[in-house]
Amino acid sequence: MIFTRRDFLKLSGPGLTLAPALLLEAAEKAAGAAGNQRLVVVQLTGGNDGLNTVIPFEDDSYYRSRPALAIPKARVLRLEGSSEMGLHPSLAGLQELHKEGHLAIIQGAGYPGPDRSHFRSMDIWHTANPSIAGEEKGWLGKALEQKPAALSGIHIGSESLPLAFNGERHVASIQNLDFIELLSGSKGARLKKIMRAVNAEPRTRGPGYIRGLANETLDTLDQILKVSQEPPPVEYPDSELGRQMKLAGQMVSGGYPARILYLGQRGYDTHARQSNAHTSLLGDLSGALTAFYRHVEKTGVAERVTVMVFSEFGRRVKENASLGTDHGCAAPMFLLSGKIKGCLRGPNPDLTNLDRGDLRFTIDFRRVYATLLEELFRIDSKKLLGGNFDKLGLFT
Amino acid sequence: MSANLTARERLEPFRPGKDGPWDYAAAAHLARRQAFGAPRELVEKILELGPRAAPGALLEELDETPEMEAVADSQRRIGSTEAVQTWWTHRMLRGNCPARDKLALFWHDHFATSDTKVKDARLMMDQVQLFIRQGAGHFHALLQSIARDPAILIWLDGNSNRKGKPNENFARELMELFSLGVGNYTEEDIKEAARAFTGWHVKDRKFWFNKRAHDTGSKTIFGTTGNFDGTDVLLACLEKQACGEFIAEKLFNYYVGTPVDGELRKALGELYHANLHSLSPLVGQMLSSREFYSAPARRAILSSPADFAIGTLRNLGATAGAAHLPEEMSRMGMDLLRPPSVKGWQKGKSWLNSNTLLSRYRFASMLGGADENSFRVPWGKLRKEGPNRLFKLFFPGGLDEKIRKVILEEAGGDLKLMVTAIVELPEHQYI
Repeated sequence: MIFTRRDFLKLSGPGLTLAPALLLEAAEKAAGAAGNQRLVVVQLTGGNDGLNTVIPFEDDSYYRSRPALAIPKARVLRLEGSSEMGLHPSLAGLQELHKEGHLAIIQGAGYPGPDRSHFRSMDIWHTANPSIAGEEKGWLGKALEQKPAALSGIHIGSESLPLAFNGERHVASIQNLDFIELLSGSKGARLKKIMRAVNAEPRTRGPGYIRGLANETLDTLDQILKVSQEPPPVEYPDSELGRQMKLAGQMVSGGYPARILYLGQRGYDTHARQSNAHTSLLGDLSGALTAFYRHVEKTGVAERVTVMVFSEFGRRVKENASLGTDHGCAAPMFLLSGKIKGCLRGPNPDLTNLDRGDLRFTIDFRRVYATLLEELFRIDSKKLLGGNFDKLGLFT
Repeated sequence: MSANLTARERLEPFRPGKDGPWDYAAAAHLARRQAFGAPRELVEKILELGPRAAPGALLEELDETPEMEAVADSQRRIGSTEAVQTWWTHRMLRGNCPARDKLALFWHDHFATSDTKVKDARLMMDQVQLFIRQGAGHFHALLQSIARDPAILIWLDGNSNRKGKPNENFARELMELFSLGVGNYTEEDIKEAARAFTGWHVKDRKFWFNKRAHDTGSKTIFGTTGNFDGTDVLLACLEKQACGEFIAEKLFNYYVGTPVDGELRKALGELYHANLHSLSPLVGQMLSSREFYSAPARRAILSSPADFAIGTLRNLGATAGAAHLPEEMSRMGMDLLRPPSVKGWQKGKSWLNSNTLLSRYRFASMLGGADENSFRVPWGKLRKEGPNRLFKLFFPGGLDEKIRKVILEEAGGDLKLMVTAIVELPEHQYI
């Protein structure tokens, strides 16, 4: 649901008593965009090879485990402040952002009892529950439920709505602008009228759900059209991720109401002939993230947005016989923001103490979630995550 | 349906009269579920066959029509993903056995293989034809065939699976997604099973047992040790109790769609075993059960893009030009032959988000649009029949009077706009 200023006024009208928490939230909202921190989640689907992303170039066992796939020391991009870890050669943009102090790298992110199934592990990241059984709410879906007036989410992508958003709140999902443009023409008015008409009558059960989704979709259309007409001051990569990040940048810069944006990049399941595929994926990722950062920097909102990049797992330390890598466990995460203290957090990967050939996690990913929930949205993470996860001191 | 029935009783045959009427709405319910949409001729055929005989009769294998043979030949010759998509959707729309296509679509989702990696649409077509041919036969035979299917072996890195260097991809998905489900095997079982499948390769676009790459050593799978090969592992999976329940429950979700609890799951597993793993009678029993015709099962399943697009066109008696149908279905979230992952498509509510809903609206507006090359609707015939028959075609079980009135008023006598509105109705999104 999208709340407008009119809704807010309606809420605070005479004769209405509001719970103190809701009042506070309403006040925060009324204070304007300054308090409105945004989160952009970027999901790398398939299991990104963390070891070839943030590389232990001084570790002989890395080179022994990956005779074909290891990135030669000379080609590794150096990270400011580290003499042992560096970045994949196609991450030049991220290297620069780290140097400027806007990129935090969280090493060894994972969870106890790692699962090597894509789907289960992804579900675990989405629900923040390593013992997930059956259908559950997502961590972001729960966040939206806790702050219904202040927070709303949007998903940009062609796949179905991520489980992370699962909950009582509807979250809009936008693929591209083709559909929207269809309705902006002269013939569109009549079609839009019909769309509204078929969804006018209230319904119960399934049709009730669809009606809600439809009305919300129609409400959202106009707002998206508005922000997407503002050309960004930077060039984004001409790729699916680039286009998605561009729309995200326009939304954040243009004041689109969603405060949690979710998008992703596919193709990280590199079981065979990994090298070229991984290089091009990371190049695309680095280009899109860098363009996004420069975009929000130029429009003056870099301190009000944080990008979180994650994957469902890393890959096995030892390369396989098909010039690829199989499913693994812990891997680094990226956080990008004008508000963050750039850093390389957590111990460097220990390739001598493995769990069935995989890296052990050193930072529970739920600590990152706790940090974001508390710092960006002032949400009690203990309640939402069902446990106490120490915040990482990442923000200024 | 009364709440105190046992799971077994719910799966017993529907008794017309006692459990509810056997009428046009009931027959249309079966048509929507077992085929695509509820075109009048099909519903009338089902009415005549009766609830017991209809599901089996619809699944009977028939000779291809000359039209469909010609389309298959020409699209295979072209050999692109789009061409094969066009062939299959055309078959669903105009073929003489849509129930087999509907079941084949279930298996395409179950053994979800994507041409994005296979990169050989003719092999994808072979796989779909395997599903059409064997999808209603024995599950044992189907699993043994699919494990030797070149497309799935390419998809799951079969050729990388060699003695001493096992690749777990196929073995893992066999257990997790194809036969048992999470919780019915261990990580060790997967590692050992992968060794048993070493050497199951593809050569010259055909299955090839590469003896030199096969690991003949002893393996321990599900607690039993022996010199197992791939066939043994498949049999071991098929023999597990969990397999019958896993397959039967998934089919039940696809065709019946009411919630499954532990008791019903067990009863479904029994049904699978009672039918000796034979799929046509198993599906037939589900589709003629008291549960299937119960009130909670009616319009309980959110239509897939295939149900929605092809069902709508079949209801209207419309045809589709070349690749338009698969393209629109892809916008709705079902890019045939390119499922999003080996887990297939996310179903139910996940079919709809703002994107895919707008894509359905887009499709609905195309039906009434000017582009004769995309979809051709027999407007003259529909106009002659009038709005009442149109409503009965889409909602044989009735539609809320208020909603009906809104549509008649909004469309203001414009039949094309009325069809667009009906197709967009939240009620039409369910089958």
